[in-house]
Amino acid sequence: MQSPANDLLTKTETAQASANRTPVIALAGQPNVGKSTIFNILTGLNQHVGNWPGKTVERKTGTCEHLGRALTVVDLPGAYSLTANSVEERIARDYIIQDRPDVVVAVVDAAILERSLYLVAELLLLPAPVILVLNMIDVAEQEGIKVEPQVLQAALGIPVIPMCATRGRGIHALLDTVQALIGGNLEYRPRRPTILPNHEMILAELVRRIAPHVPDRYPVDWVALKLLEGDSEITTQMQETLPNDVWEQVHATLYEHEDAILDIAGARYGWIERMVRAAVERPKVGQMGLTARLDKVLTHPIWGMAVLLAVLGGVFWLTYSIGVPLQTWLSDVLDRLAMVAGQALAEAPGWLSALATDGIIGGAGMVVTFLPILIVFFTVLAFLEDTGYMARIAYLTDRFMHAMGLHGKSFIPLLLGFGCNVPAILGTRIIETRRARGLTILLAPLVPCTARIAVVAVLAPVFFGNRAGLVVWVLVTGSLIALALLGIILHRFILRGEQVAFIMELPLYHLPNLRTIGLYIWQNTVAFLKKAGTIILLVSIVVWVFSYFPNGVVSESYLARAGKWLEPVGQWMGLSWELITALLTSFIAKENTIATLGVLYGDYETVLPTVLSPAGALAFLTTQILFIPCVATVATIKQEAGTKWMIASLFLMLGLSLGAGIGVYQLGVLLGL
Amino acid sequence: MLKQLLREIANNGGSSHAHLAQRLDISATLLEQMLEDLARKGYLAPVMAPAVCTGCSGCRLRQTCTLNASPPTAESQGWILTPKGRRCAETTLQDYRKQA
Repeated sequence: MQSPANDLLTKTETAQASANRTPVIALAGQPNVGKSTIFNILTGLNQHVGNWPGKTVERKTGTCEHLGRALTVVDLPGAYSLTANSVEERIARDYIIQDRPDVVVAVVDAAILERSLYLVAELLLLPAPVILVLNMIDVAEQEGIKVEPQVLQAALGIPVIPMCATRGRGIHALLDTVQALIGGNLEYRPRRPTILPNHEMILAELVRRIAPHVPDRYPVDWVALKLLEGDSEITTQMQETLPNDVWEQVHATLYEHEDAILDIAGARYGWIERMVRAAVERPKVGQMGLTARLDKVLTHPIWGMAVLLAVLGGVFWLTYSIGVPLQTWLSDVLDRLAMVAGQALAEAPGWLSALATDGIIGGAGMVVTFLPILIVFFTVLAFLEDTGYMARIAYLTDRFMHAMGLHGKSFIPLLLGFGCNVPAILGTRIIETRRARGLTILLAPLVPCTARIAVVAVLAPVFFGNRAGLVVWVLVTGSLIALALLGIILHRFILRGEQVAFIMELPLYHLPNLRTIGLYIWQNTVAFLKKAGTIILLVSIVVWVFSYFPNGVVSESYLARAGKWLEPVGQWMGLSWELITALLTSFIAKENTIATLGVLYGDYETVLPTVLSPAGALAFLTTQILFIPCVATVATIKQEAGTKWMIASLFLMLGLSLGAGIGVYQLGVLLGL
Repeated sequence: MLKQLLREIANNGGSSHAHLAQRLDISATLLEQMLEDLARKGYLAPVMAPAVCTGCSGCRLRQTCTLNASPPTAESQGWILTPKGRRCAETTLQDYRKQA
């Protein structure tokens, strides 16, 4: 198509450019094509996660080595095209144009090749050689689709590597091809889409007009094409860059050919159809692939919901049968450690010994015992996401979300909230309308995160012994019912508005990659341990300081005075000042509840059942699970939605948690609990 | 190809995806992608069930109605031409008739 930018790119230039520095590979592709799996396999633990400059989009870079040569790998954000439709698409194209990676590896899903090739058609116009990775070739086969990599390579004129990343197949072939392309040992003659002859003339006219004014970093042909396509970002940039008289001429041409965009995009679809026709053999009509067979059950209104409930039940069962016993064991280890520390510091000043045993080990150390519960949860979430089942959950829940004026798309961030409310708030970016996004943000903190669940999972057995599992299930279900009721009320009476139609994309089922799951668990575990070692440790020490001073007697401490000031509120819920204080410190991090109880009560597992009635215990756990989210979540709400939404969320959660706590306690007392 | 699709929708509005894909001689997946692209570009608008019908009870088509799916998947989504899409389809149709 249209004398593209990388026609200028010769083999020698590519080889010379990378001779003196570490070559850079950029991974590009749509979401859910296995790009992150390939990135994880290539880089392992040699990766750095940050943000793209000035954006809140995650940037992953890493290094790998092949045949003794180091390579830098950059994981570009998932994008469907390179038009400025989204921040991810802008980041991807700006990176390729401005940073000029040595090779762009375009990852496509072999089972839905049509969907991925539009991006490839656009990548071929940018100034970097492209290698096509035909990932999930096994999934395509399982769906009855046969893709011929050699035929596709001949049709596209670029290297094509078949791959099954989840099993590590094709990675070496990819690295060999990257090295060959960088070294100038591979022919690169891409066959790009073409446009109609009359539009070629218009394009040539645009090129002639804008060429003297286009910034050096941009290929002129590409800018002209994007103008013709009506790309908003490039149009704005050119309007600012071009002299007025030139812009007026350019604008007149663009206005006259407003629908050229349909011919340009249409030509790309024609190109995709030809490529697919040449290289893909589809199953005969009536033949069903694995995904279609599974979806007959898993997305069925009745059987699908039954499976979903079983899956969610299984998550909690796994948490209890694996996580809680390990947590108890770790807790015992910690008790012994505290005893050893106390003996070792027997000669030291009293405050130092108390700080080590009560403040650090009893506080932050106790929080570390949550780790097994968190790991189970992270594993299950990663597994559901990596198999493609998460999208089915969104599909199944769509009809229920409609009652709240939302649709299934809002369920995905809410589901992420079970892991942590921060990504849940960030995940609301996928929701198009401000109203639906705001509503989802208000509701997200009502999804109990792993930390909240871990706190109630640790405390429930203290009060309710063998019935703890049932209590936690009631609390979690109650939270979700509160979410639904609040959503309906907000939708009907406060945040009324039109619903927007959307189309749900259901990815094909595939085997999860253990390495991807492992890395997900690792990254989240490290993040949790960092939090435990920094903010939670700091809060534990601060809580301990306020609970120890002025005279070492907890009931006369500064913390006791603050807690006692709030005691009247606690009395309506049957809670002592210690429990109110524990709730307050959970604002910093939910796990601090346990840390504070550890500091204030010492052996809280023994003491708490003696000072709190079952009604009070239920009220405490109810308030804990509904209480205002942690400071990180609150900060994220402010960042994503603004101060007003943050304040609304804080008051909403505070009112709801205290109201529910009081209600549960009063009801419990009435029932004689 | 996109103009051809707009023309098909303008001529045979209620066509099923399968029928449209057959008329254009393309795969259903590519057709869905093109429909979504036209919607993004403002030529088509997705239709939700309440906009085109008043309810399912008593409707003879409810067993086969794709708009009844909740949420709409790519295969079940209904579309209508926007004013921009209608203008473009008319121009394309005129050009096509002239050529014919």
